[in-house]
Amino acid sequence: MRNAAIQFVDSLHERKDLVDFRAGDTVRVWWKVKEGEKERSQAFEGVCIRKTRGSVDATFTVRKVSFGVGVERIFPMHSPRYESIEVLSRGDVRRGRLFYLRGLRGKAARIEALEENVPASSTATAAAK
Amino acid sequence: MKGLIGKKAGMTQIFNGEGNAIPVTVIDVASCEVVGKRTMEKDQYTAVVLGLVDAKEKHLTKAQIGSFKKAGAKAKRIVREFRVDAEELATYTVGEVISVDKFFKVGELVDVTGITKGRGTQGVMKRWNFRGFGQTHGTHEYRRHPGAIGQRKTPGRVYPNKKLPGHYGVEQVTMQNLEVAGVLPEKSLILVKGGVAGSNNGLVVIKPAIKGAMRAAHKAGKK
Repeated sequence: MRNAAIQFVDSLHERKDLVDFRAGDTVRVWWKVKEGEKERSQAFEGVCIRKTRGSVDATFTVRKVSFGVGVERIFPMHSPRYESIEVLSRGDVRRGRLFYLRGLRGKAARIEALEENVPASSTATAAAK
Repeated sequence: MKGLIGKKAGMTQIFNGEGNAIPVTVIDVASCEVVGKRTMEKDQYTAVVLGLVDAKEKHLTKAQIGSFKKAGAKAKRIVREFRVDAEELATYTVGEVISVDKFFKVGELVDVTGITKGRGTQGVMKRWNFRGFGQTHGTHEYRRHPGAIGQRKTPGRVYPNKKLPGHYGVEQVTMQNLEVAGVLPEKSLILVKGGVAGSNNGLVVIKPAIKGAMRAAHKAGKK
């Protein structure tokens, strides 16, 4: 069992507005970018190929193919640096880690969307910390 | 020298103001109380005695029970002294619970002392970071060995303190200049950036960084 003190510290830094999604889902992460004084949000859209478990140290990896080059980005699940996560579609996949996508190109790298698809409350807006 | 005793609760990470994840060690200093004083008249030096973790009488010797009773303090399992000058000593009262935010603020540097985890008998590669020998190219039963440990007939002996296999761990180690990443008085927790020696639930002593002023001066000089 985890230490009560650690749990308390974690609870202070966990985001309460987590979005429910799984590996295989296509997501759009609005990442806050600072440009000098200004701050704006930049979208990173792709397939979630991995979610690591954990409390405040949980992360997820988003993969997309940009100009023919595979790009993967790891986001901390509880980072205050993203504004929101949108779930664009639910993917029909059989495993939790989709590393096999790295070896596939084009049509083969597609993921079939689930029938039920996107739930209503897929978009979360962050209460800026 | 002011200081606190606490228990290492473990490590986690927090997000700072800029949203960057920082690895922190959580130290629990709940029930850190003043259990006695050392005075010039009686002890020829001045120090404040802090205790951690309430103890049942059956776990203590009669001498220990007597000393706690005489001071008029609660019995504690762990007791440590911190040297303070006479003026500062007067500000403490026996039985007072030391709050975490009394000494340390976020951003300050501290030294944290702990006892490292025991690793048992270990070879020279783990214990002293020797390089060992090649794994291939004909190495025969000589892969993780220390090599030569001395000369010939002169001096005809192995020098004292030669690094050899043996018991490793369970040593006192002080991590210097750790940054205080958070202070939570409501739960008596202090967060320091980075790791601290020892297992979870191990005893640690937190003091202001001995080189803190030096580092600050150095930094100021650079700018």
